[in-house]
Amino acid sequence: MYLAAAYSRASAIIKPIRRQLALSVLVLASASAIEAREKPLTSVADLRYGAALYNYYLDDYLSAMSELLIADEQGGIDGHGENPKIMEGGLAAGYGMERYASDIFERLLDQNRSQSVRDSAWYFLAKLRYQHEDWARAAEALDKVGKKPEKKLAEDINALRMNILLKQDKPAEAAEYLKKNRFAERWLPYFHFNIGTAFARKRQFADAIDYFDFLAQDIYQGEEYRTLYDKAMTASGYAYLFEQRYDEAKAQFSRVRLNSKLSNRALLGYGWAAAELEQYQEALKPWLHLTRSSVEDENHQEAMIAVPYAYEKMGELGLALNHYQKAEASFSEEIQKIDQVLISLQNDDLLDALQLQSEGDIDWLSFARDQQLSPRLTYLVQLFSRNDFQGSVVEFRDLLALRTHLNEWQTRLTFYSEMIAARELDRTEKSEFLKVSALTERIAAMQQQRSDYAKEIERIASEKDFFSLAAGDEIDLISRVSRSGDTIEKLRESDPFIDEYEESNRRYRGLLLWDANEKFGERLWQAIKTLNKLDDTITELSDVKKRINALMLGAPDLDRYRGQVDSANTQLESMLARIEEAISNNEGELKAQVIAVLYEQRRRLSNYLAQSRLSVARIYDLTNQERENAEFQRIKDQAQVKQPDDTIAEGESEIETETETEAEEH
Amino acid sequence: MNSKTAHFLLYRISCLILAALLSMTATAEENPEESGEQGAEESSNLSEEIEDLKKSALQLNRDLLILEEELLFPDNTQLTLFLSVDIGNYFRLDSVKVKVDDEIVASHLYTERQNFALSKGGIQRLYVGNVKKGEHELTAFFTGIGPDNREYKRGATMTLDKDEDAKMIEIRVYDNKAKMQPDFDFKEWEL
Repeated sequence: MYLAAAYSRASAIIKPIRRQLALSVLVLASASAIEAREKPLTSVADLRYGAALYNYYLDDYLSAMSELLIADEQGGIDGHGENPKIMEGGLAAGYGMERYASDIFERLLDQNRSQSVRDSAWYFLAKLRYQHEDWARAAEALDKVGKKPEKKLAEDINALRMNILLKQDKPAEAAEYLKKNRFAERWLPYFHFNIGTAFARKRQFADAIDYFDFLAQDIYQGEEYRTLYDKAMTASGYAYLFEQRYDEAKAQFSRVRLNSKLSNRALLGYGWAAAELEQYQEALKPWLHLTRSSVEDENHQEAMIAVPYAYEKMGELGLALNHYQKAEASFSEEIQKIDQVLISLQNDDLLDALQLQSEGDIDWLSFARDQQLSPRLTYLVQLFSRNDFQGSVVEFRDLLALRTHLNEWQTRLTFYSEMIAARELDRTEKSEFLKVSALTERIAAMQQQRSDYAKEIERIASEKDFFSLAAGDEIDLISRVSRSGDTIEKLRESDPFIDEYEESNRRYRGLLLWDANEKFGERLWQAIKTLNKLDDTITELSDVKKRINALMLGAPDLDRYRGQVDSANTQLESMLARIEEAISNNEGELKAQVIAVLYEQRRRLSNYLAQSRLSVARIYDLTNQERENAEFQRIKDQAQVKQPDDTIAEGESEIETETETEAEEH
Repeated sequence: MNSKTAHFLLYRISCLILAALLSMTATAEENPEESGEQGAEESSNLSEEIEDLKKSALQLNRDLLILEEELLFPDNTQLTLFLSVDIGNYFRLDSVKVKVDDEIVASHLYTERQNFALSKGGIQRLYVGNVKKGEHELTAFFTGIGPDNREYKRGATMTLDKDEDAKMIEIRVYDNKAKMQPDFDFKEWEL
């Protein structure tokens, strides 16, 4: 039961704290956008802004940031004022790039911005400084926020200021601040508890009790607040213990729910309060219950030696001895188990064992079911809850994700490289085709022909060679008339009617000439028009050739792409090497933290073991001494009854001296 | 005997109580939890190194994305489809299927988380591809849960005229308050 609770707690707390900052930035950015434009939350004026938001809500910071960076590169996002920049700052913070985020917020303060943008920027700067544990500068940044920030921002500012005061160990000032300022109702129990804790750290237990007891004034429904209530009552009980108000301590411990994660600690405290009142029988009840719980629970370990202590105080030395021996055996066994775990963690890949490489939240519960070493992970729950450990885990996962992403780019670049090579080949083939098709030569030949045609037309026009432009049947008729003329010349001497034929032929020729003359003007114009069309065709062909040449000369683009791909490949290789190194360093750091915690637990168990053994020895000595005293008394009584003389008196003195020496040595 | 034991136990109690109290700093939403100081400086150096790495990786990623777009989807053929849901009170998207000229180019099944991202103003890049110059018919089919938790299916069509510039189309699902029904349309963006 306890294990399950411990694992689920670890699972819950492993979520990155930094995401909360990104979220608050986005909420504020969205809120200010709404106010400024009075449009619904989902109305966006730029697709990339929306795409970045989408990726952010899917926890894909890399894609979200890339969208904004591309938008920046391509001229920025319109219509959202400073929100894209605020969003980029928030995303950067969420992605663990706090210096980058700080730079953005500081730039937002450099120039003339609206008060609300400046307020947001100062708040986020304060938050980032707070995360870097720079409390003083965080407070300074908050001081720069305007007098009337927006309501949501004002609440966040108050909460942050309160946390800064607590981190600065100023519980009194924090208490005063709590009185004078307004906070969201849901935060009040937390602030009271944290102020109580801060007072307790300063050993001002009476003050601490006041704040812890604030939580007892209400009835809480949600599990989150019920758990906080249990914590407060447990802490209050211990504070009463320190104040030596044992009855009140018992009362506070009794308010903790038995099924709470804090119940074992409260049971232990209840036992101590009862023991302080010398009500050992009552103290034994919770302690004996605890000895039946899981051995990994430190409350169980404490109870293992508290139970015999109570028996000892009640004079039940036999029972005390028995329980000390049980504790000794239990601690020895647990130390051996921890040793085995340490060996297995050092031999195996620790990160495999802790499932840190898996995506999503770590499911410790299912891990506990599958792994032999899992019960010992209970010792690590405190470590898992620490911000720095969580930060390292998130960074480690970011690095793994980056490595995967960049490896994917390498594969894609190989493909693009091949694609560019294919395009280059295609261009080469086209170039070859141009050579084979001799387009240039063909155009030159056409130009020559055009020139010849032009000269011929010029000649026809100047000589008025009507028949040269004849067309269709007319050519045939002209040819026939011409042939007839030749035949007439051949028959002139032999044919008596030759003159008639000649006259007819002359008349036909005259008709044809007349007709050709009539059409000559139009035909010459058509010939010139055709020549002009030929010019157009030649020009068009020349253009095609130019375009193809231009395409061919597009090769430098491919060269540029090839250059970019090659350069990116080099960068990828170098970056992957750096990432491998960072992963290794990060892994080493995580491993060191985990092993240190296990060693600390081992050291604590060793102390318990030593204490148990000493107590066993002490009880043996006590019983031996009592037995020897009884034996001595018996001998003394016998001697007094039989013969009380000087020799016996001397012997008695020797025995007594010896017994005292032994006791002292023990 | 007893005094030694009691002294020892009290010492242990003190340690335990202090540990109990100091480790109990509560966390309220954005309030911090306790943080360890062990190796904080080393950790900080490593974090700075990792941040530098991330910054370089982001810049490289940006350049590669731009290069990829230029290589694969030149402006004269590029068609990019986005999907947005404005509020989504009347419709919860289960799936979408998009056709360009009767050819399915994109389809998507939505998880709860993706629906949440859309309802928060996120815009999904649904498809990037190439089409020839000229007119094309774009059709989107939506299935999901409509008003009164009933299964809901709808389609929407537009004709797009692809020219020399890259085409960006936003497929919009929005609440029609007057009809208390979801509505679907397309918006062409000029970037």
